[in-house]
Amino acid sequence: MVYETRKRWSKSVVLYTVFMLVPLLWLAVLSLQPNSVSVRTANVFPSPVSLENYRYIFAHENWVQGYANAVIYVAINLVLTLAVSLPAAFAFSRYRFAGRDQAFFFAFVLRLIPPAIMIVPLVQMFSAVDLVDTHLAVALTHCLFTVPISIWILEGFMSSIPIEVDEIAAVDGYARSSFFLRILLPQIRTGIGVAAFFSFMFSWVELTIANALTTVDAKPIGVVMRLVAEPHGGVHIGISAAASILMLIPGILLVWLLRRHLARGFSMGRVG
Amino acid sequence: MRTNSTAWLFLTPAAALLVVIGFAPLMTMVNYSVQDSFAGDRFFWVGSEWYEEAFRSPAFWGALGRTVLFAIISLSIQFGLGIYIARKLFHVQKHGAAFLGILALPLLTPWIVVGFVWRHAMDAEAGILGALGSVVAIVPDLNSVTWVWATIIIMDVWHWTSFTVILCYAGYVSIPGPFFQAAQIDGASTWAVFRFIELPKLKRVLTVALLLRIADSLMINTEPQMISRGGPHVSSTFFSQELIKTAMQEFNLGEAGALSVIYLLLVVPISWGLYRLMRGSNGV
Repeated sequence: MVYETRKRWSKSVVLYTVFMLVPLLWLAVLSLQPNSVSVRTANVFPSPVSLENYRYIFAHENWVQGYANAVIYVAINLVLTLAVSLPAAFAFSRYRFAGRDQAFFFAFVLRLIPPAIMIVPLVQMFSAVDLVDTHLAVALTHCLFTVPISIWILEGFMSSIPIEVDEIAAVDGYARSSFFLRILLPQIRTGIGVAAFFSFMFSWVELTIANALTTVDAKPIGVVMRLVAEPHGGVHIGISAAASILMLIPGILLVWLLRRHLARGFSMGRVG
Repeated sequence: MRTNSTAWLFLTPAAALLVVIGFAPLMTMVNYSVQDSFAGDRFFWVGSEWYEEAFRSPAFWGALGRTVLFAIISLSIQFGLGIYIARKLFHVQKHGAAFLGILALPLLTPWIVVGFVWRHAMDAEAGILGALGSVVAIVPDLNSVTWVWATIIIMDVWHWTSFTVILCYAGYVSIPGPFFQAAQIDGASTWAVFRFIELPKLKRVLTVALLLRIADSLMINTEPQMISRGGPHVSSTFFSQELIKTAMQEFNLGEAGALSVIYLLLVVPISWGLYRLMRGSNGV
């Protein structure tokens, strides 16, 4: 019974998947029907089908700009995260040095601090250098959460590649830098994908920091949505649902790009 | 393996970034916690006053207690269900890996969207779950403490169980097939296989998942804010919400600093324990 060679459909898996999908599909329904219907009845299919919510979003610059802002700071964050984590992960994976374990944990402790603690000092700091309300400020602050976990993931993947590979490459005349770029990086593709997944899983979805550090120019779509979706204010369900669906698209795209790595990649490089 | 201080050369960019963006703001908060200010710009030393105030504050202990209770309930369900689903996906489900893509979607859903959809879904007439409940005379009411807590916990289970599933599935895939065949020949029970083959192999991914999930559920903020704004009264106000209120609305930086320091003193030792467990289990 334990090791089944003939696979079938599992009731609990199917039920659970349905539970995952219902809220997301229902969001699509809400986004595709007029708000006046959404506030009165719980439809399973949109009726009547209408694109007015999407039209509203695309016709208003603050929504479109908000979407672009979020994409911009997430992209900057991704580049920054990989740029500083890859060398750091390399150091942790290939060198023994004083304070190694402590440095690793120190980076991780920063990941445990609630953003709420850091907001006031960060706003003051970025004001002092005139960076408040810029994409860079949000991207840099998100690094606090994405860099430690990326270092951790990438270190796992690098450490799963035996040190002998380095030695053979050195004998073959590869310099450190070209070994890193031409041999090591291609081998940890999956790790880079997983690190990107984790960075995205914070930077794209987070709002506390992005809200506090932006006012007009770099304000992300989530904050725009919060302004119209505050619980006790006038919630515009249709527009909020349409914005939500638009905000799901990058995630769906990322899952599609990582589809081959989802099953194995998340063992964090090390096995067992 | 080289013993070499050039390692720090590779670490410098990351270290510089984390010190400026993380360590410096943290020290600023520690600084605030021992000072008071006049007119927001002249500071003077007050020693442990803010700490004493924080320790006496029912709002702080209430918020902290609710946060810990929330984390315990929510994580127990997430890990129990997550391991169960990962196990079914691996052993039973046809094309199990194909499901992972769908299951990953809640993880990549913006937190404000999570809060928005769950709040509206609970609406007694226009919400899909509320309307369904109303049919069988179970009417959700977000003015009641029980319903608010139930909604927040179900929402969090929906949001994060997939994290455990995906990490555990990766753990399962890495177990060599002969382990299971040998267990079957020996006639081992399902429980014995789980307890003595699967669980030890899943230990590492589970510790990783637990460490991250503990940290994140203790800092939950956006989603419950969307569901109930901390209400009714303060019955669903969690630590981060309390802290944001103290620091950003009351501008009471001294007390916010003290709250932050107490929080870290509680969380860091737990994390260190889990971290040792994790690093120990892979021999690094």
